[in-house]
Parts: sequence; structure tokens; C-alpha cells
Amino acid sequence: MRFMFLSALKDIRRLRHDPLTLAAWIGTPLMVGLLLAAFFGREQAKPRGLVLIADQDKTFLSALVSHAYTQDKLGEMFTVQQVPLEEGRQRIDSGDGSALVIIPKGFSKAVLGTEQASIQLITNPSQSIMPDIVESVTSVLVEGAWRLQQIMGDDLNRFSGNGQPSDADIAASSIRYRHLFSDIRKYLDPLVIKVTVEAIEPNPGRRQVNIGEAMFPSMTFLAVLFLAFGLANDIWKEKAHSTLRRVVVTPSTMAGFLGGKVLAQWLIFAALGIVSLLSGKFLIGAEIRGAVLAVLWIAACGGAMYMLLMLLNTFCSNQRGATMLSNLLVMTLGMLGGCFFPFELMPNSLTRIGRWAPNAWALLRFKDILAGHADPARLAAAFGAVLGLTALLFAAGAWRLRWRFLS
Amino acid sequence: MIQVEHLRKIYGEIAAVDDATFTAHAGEIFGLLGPNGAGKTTTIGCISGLLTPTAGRIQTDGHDVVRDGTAARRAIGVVPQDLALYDDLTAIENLEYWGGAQGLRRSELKQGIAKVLELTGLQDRAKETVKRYSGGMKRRLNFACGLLHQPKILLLDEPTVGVDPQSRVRLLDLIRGEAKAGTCVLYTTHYMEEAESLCDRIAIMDHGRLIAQGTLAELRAMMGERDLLRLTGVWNTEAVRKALAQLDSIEVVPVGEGSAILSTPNASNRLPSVFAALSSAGADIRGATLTQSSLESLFIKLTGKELRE
Repeated sequence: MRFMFLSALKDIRRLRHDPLTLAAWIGTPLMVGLLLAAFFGREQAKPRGLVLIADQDKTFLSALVSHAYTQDKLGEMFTVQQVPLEEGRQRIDSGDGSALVIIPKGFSKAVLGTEQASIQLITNPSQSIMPDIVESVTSVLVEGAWRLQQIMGDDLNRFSGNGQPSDADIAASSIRYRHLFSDIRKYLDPLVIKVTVEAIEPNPGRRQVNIGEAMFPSMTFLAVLFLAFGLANDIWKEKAHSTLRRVVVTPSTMAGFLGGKVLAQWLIFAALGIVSLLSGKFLIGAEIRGAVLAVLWIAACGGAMYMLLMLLNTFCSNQRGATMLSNLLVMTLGMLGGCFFPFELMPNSLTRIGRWAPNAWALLRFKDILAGHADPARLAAAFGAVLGLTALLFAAGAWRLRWRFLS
Repeated sequence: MIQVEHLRKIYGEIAAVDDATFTAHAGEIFGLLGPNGAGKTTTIGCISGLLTPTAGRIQTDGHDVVRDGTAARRAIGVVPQDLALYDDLTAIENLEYWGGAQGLRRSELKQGIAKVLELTGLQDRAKETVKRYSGGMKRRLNFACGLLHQPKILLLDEPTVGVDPQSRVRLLDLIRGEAKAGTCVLYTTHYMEEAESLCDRIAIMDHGRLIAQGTLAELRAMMGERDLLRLTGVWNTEAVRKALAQLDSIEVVPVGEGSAILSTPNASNRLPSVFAALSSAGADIRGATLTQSSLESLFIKLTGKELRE
């Protein structure tokens, strides 16, 4: 037992003398947290589009059309830029912008003169949502212009074609509109069809999760996989430096030596867990419940993953082969087990396969712990399963180190 | 202290060690001499418990290394051929770890560390990481790690390979000191002069077999190896040849005008009779050089080939 603690202390000391490697390992989740925060921020992500408007008419009416894209809620979704026609075409061709709206010269005159008016809309095919919204807004504008023409077209045409309208013309038009509005008032006031708009209020007990927060558990377990890979590879250094052989010729046991390694790895994984949770909370804004349990879970799962990869190393005849095999396993587990991409973003077929991966199982328990949903009995069983698996891998690893790896 | 009986270690169809039997005693430096690949390291591996013998029996300090491995290893200190050190730890941290692995506790560990650091002359750089050490310093630390728990048996596997002359002298002095203090030292080397100057008894090994063993004098005698006596002077060649021919066990290799080379066992004891015979033949001897037979020449005679590195 004493030798086990000495071995753990030795491995911790070795890492302490190599702070760069230690920082790279422990700092992985911190870096991932920083990147997620930089990409997605702490708030829920809101899409924002760019509407390019080439206004060749430059009239009051064309200005109203341009203004329509930034009215009320649309203003939160779109940025409008006035551009010359050529620049607008170039920019939309190169994918810079959600849509290009071209208001041709004579648009205003056509609308007021009940002639056929047109607005040309060019959308960006590489975007899916924003161009559709721009198209919808433009359709509403066109329909509005048509209604205006139907109701007031003759008058507008007369006024615009004959210079300053006479008082009699204005009075006659006013009386006609008054009769028109009186006739339709019964439909409008009150409205025959009442539309009730009910906005779904956010549930105060349910937080909106941003993309960074959704990816945070996956990224944490990806860091666990990479760290386990790096730590397991150290057994080749022990072999190359003959320190493993020296252990065998002492009265101490290989189990003590490996036990020390596992103990040290648990501490390192716990440190990784603490850094990961802190970066998740403060950089991404993730809600973390059961932090202590989460750290213990990361340490336990990291220890098991370390033992699995270390055992795998003992089956290889050289370090290069071991690195390739470990890489293959880590990448496959990472891809399928929801560490590179959350399950929510994976195709159903892959998700069904991926959920059988051991890291996926661990990741789902981790999410439960973070969300505070973990059932204590089930969690205890999960811890027991992980520690049991670690013990099995440990026994096999100690035997292989002593009787196979050194020969 | 070390008893090896009919040791065999087979890898596939190759016998790395084949029927090796020898005994090394307390206070003795026992040398295993042979070229690379002779089976020296395999023998040490079996004695230290690193390798399991295919056949035969090994006892260290009265404990069977297979059946009672832990007790057998407790008596042993091993200085492996490779530098078995953590180069990312300091010398003290290395010694703490390896001392702990040998079961040393706090106070004795602390004392042991101070002692071996002084012995190896590393106390000034004890807090530096080993990767900053020179090759000779690493060798000395490697030695210190094997010596730390004051073992009754010290297994040294070519400890001076790649060591600068100064460190080499220091290491050899340390080994002599340990033997003088009662430690049984098993020393493998392929350096003839090191074995000659250091070892009390020597076993010569080749292709896994022990082909001879004994003290240096016994080995020479066992092989009938002769010393060479080179003489210079003024004499009548024919008269000298006749005078020498009357002496027993003296072989005249060449004799000419003013110089002669004689081959004889134990030449230093034969010098008076040789000088008397030459004097009676009227020879005026101006110079005499005696060259003892070396392990190198013994090895050539035993194996028919030179000792390869």
C-alpha cells in the first residue's frame, strides 16, 4: 500500500516537473470552453441576416420599402445595407448577405400609376432561414402595394399625372373614402375575425440552453478521452527507461506500481473535472448541479478509460503500433459516443449505435448529474460498475505488465 | 550468497543460458565475463527475478528466487545495464522512490539517501532533474539506486558502459568498497582489464555456457597458459639455446642475436633458474620483460575467437 502511494506521488511529481504537458492536458476543457464561449457566447444564439438593397428609384416609396425590413422585430433579425446594384450582385454572388432586393427605377411611378411594378429579389442559397424571411416580407410588401393600387389607384394616378390637385378633387376623394371606410367599418370595427395571439412565455423553471452549454458535456468527455490516451502512452516511457524492469527486481509488486498510477490518474482526472466545470460555469454559463459528484464521475470514468487504453498498449509490440491503435479507439469512441458531436446533432442510425459505446453511457450519466436528475441508487450502481470495470482492467493490466509487456 | 545450479533459460529454440552453475560468496567480487550476447544479462535477469528460469535452481541469501521471490529480492540490489531512472525527477526524488520500492522507511531512507549521494559525489546536484545530468552522473545515480538499501547481494550488469574514465574509477572503487564491507558482488562485463583488476573470481561465458571459472591464477593454470619472458642482451645464440633447453617447461619461441622470447608457466617464479642458466652460458643480460597471460588470450584459446564487443 505504501509503495502504491509512493508510485502515485512519483507520477504526480513527474507531471509537476513537466508543467507544459500538465497544462495542455488539464487546460484542454478550458480551451474548449473559451472557444465555445467565443463561438456561441453565453446567451441563446439568435440568427441575424444581412439584406442588401439596391434602390435605383430613390423615391419616398422606395425608401419605405427599404425601411420595411428593419421594422419592429425584423430589426432584431436583419441588418440592411444600401448598395449600388453591381456591388450588390457581386456580394450576393460571393455569399455575402442573405438576400439582395433590387428596387428598379420607376418603381414609385409604377405603383402610383397602377402600372405593373416589380421588385427583384435574389436570395443566398447557402442560407436556409433568413432568405425565406426576406422573401416573405417582400411578398407582403408587394401585396400591400397592390391593395393600395386597388383602393386608391385612380386618385393617386390622377393626382400624380396632373400636377397639383384642385381642392374639389381632394374633397371628392375624401368623401368617397369616407363612404368606403363607413361601408367596411362593420367588418373592421370590431373585427369580424378576431385573432388572438398568444405568445408562449418561457417556463421560469426551465432554462434556455445555448449551443455552447449543450456541447459542454461532450467536450468534457472528449478531453477525458484525450487525457486518458496521453497518460496511458506513458507506459512506453517506463519501459524504454527500464524503470518498469527495476520495479520487478524490487520486493514491491507490479500491482502496487500500477495502483499508484491509477491513483495519480484519478487525481489528474479530478483536476480536469474541476477545470472543466469551472470553465463551463464561468465561460459558457452552463448550469451545473452536483458539481462534486460530477468531478468524482469524471475521475472514475477517466481512471477506467486510462486502464482500458493502458491494457490495450500492453498488447502492442511497439509504441507506434500502440499509438495508432489507441488513436483509432479514441477517435471511434469519440465520434460514436457523442463526444465530438452531441447525440442531438447525430443521425438517428448513428445515435442508436453510439449509445452502446462506454463513453456514451458515461456521458449520459454525466449529463444527468449536471442536470441534477441522477437517481441516487442508479448513480451508486453506475459508480460501482465503473469501479468494478476498473478493477478488472487493473488485474489484467498488472498481469500483462509483469508477464507479457516486459518480455 | 548466490547459488546457481544448472540454470537454463530458453527463448524458443535458443538457449540464452545453458546449464550454468556457479557460486558467489559474501565479500567476493564474482565476475561474469563474456562477449555481448553470451548470456550474462539473462543470467542476472534470472537471479534478480526479472526472468523465470526454464530449468535449474537459484538461491540468493538462502531464498529460492522462484518460490520465495519477495524474500530473495529483498537481499538484492540491482544496477542494470540501462539507466533505470526517471529523468524528469530529481536525484533525491529518484532515490526516494527506489528506496521506497525496496521497503525503506522515512529515517533509514533519509540516511541512506544522504550516504549514497555522498558516496557517488552527487550531493551538490541532488535537487536537479536527472535529464540535466551528464552520462557519468546518471551512471553514478543508477548505481546509487541499487546500493541505497545496503543489499547483501549486488548485481552489476556492465555498470561502466559509456562512462567517462573519472566516473569509471570512482565506480570501481565503490564496488571494491562494497565487497570489502561484506557484500557479495556479481559483476558482468566484457572489459577484460576491468575483470582482471576487479574480480576475485571469474566465470567466462560464451553462447550461454560457462566455459571456465576460478581465480585469475586458477584460470591461467587451468588452461596451461604461459607467461612470456622477453630477454635482451649479448650472447652466443647456440650456447643460450642449449642452456635453456635443459630447463623444464620452458619453451623458446624465437631466439636470435641479442633477443629471446621464452614461454613458461608462472614465469616470475622461474626467473632465477632462467638467469642462472643464461649466466652459465656466458650471456650478458641487459633487459628482461615479463608479460603474464591475459584473459583476452585465455578467451581466444578457449573459444577460438576474440572477445567481441
